Amino acid sequence: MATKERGKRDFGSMLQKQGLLVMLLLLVIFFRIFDPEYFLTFDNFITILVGATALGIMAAAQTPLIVSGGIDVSVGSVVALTTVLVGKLLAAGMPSWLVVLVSIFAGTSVGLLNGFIVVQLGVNPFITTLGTMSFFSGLAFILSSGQTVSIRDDLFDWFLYTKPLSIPIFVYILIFVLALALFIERKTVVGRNIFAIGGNREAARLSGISIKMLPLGLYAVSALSAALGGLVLVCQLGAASPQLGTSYLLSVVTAVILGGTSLAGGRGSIVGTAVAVGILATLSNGFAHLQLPSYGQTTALGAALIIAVLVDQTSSKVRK
Amino acid sequence: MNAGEILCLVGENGAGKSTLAGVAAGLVAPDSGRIFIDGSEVNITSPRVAESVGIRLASQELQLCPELDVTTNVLLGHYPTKKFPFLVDYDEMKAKAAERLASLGLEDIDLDKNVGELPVVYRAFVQIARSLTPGAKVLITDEPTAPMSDIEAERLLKLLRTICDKGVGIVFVSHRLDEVLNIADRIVVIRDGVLVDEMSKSEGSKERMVSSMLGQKASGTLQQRGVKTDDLHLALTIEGLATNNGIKSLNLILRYGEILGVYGIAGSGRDALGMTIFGSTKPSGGEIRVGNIPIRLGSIKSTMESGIGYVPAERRTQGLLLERSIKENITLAFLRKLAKRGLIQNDLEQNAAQKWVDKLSVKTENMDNTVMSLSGGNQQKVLLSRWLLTGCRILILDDPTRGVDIGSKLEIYELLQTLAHQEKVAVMVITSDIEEVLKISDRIEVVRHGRSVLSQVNPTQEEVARAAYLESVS
Repeated sequence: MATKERGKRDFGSMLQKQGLLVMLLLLVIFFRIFDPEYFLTFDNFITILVGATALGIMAAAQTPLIVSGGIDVSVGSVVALTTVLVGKLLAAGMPSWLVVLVSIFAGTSVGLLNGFIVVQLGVNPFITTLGTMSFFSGLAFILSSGQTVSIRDDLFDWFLYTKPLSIPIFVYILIFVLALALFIERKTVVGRNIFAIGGNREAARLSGISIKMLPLGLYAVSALSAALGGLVLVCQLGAASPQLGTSYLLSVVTAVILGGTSLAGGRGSIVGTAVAVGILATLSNGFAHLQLPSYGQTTALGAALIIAVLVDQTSSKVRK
Repeated sequence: MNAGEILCLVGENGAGKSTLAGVAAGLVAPDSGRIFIDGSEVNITSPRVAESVGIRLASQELQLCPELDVTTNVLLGHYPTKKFPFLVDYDEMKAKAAERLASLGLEDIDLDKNVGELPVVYRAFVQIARSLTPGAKVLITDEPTAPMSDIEAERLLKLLRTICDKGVGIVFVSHRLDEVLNIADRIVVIRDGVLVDEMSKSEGSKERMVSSMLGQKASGTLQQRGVKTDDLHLALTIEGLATNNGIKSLNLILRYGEILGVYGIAGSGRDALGMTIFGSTKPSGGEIRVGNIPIRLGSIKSTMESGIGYVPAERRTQGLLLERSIKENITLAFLRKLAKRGLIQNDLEQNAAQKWVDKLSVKTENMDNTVMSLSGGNQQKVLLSRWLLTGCRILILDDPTRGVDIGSKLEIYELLQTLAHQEKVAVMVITSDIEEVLKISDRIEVVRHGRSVLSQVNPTQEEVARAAYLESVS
């Protein structure tokens, strides 16, 4: 009986993983048909990866957070706040390396605030980060007076134009972050404990695992990833604006859920998230090339998310 | 049963009282058998059918909406509506609710108050008032007095008598034998799902109920196990332990190399004991020592560092990571020690888990299978392995054989005995199963009203049961 159940489980997770890959493949075929010249080139592949850098970094941090039973919807606002902060500090004449350090520090503090409210004060994670999302977003608008400023800086330009092996440095950063997250997920005590806390909080607690420190850290890392995402965007767009983060408001969580991570916690994977980020980035790249309206992309994304979750639920029913 | 009669159902935990109540109310489908109302057979297939034939259930857990007022709760689902535009007629509702409460002599309940703000006993009243919709012939109340103090319970009993005088038959399920004797017209004892004794009020006595509940086994004595517990070294000393959930000044000791069985009925303080010792909840007073060293109370971390392991009662919700592998479940509490600088050493982990899978003969082909794929008994062995792996010398188990089949039960008993008698682990088994406590223990403590009331090496079943149920608090 055990083997039979195991077979079913494997089938369930296979269906889900393959489902994602099939989705990605269908997208690629679709865009290949409508854009035969450019879409399937190496250059465009790199373009897609560069476009996915900010999203990928944030989704890599959001995945363990959701696996542990938390969520952080404030990342989009932290992105906006970071870009505005970078713009302000550079304008004030601070050296750019210090600006980078300060914004990373600011991001981490903001995450600790989220974590403190959720873990120590016991407020629901969704409500907490919904609140701080609005709070940080407002702060970004106040700081910038709603203005978009362009940013010219040597350090940021270096990131934009450095291409080891003629591949932009962002691609290396993206791969490094995803690999690090995968390593932590698979190989470390921390990774294992994240699954334990998300899968059965009480069992984890009764096994002597601290159910407070780890989630607190995950909120800090989530906001830190948003600060990094903000820095990447500043490099790539050469601009700081309180409106920059809005597109990440939901796409980060969407990517994680699409990648098969359970909102209830305890189940999920970086690999799934990486494929889902690929789908999202391909979608936005393809739509741009076909010069389709960007809200069509939003619609397609919404449909894809619901289909993916449906597949997930069906496969977990098969599992039971 | 007859109209206008109070029939009391008593029996041990798991004897089938709540199931019987559930069948009558249409919540549980019976496998076979027939039910008669007013002499005609009824086939109760759903709660709706049960309601239409006049059966009302006020179940163990209160089924009220705490955020709604008394009026709404009393009439829940049966609101009077205006003819047009079909809105709820609140004035009519209030009048009806007031009438219903008045007929039960419950005029003092404030109709506008939210049910959540009422004291427990009033909530029970509201629940009963709600159950008594017109046409009620039989009211089943399943342990309504369990969370109440004696004075509150007395009020509830008075209410039941009032209802009964109106010609409604009442089935009253309770663990409190005094109460049963006080109110019953007739008493029925159930054991293992079968009616084993029936007595009228005049024939009833607590002794007779207890001996029927336990069956013939009551007179049997148990074989000596030949373990002289007095010679063993002291492992755990608990002095004056008190909590705000049922333990009042509890003293007990546990020695290395013995199995201490702790028995008590629901609400005796037995249920809270394991969690409190383990540091999951902070006690309000008392001291716990390991050897001679007091441990920090209310801290799982320091309890674990003192070498105490704890297997909770609810295997699925408190113990296991159901979707994770057997291996991960075994190493959960010890993972830090199987890692170097936070990196899990795969071979260390594999070997550690394999050792205990072999030692406890967990039946699985592959430790990477999910723990869900195991039977209840094997799941329990996984939890035992988790603690044995940490090298703990004191093991506390809450209801270790709940939901475990007989074969695995015996295996777990043998395992615990080997651990205690050969490995010299101090084992404390906290249980609500009287046969279990008698079968497995080298020494037995019985807990009642938050205190230890009996501590004996080889008590008879009767002595244990008397201590747990009978003797009044001094």
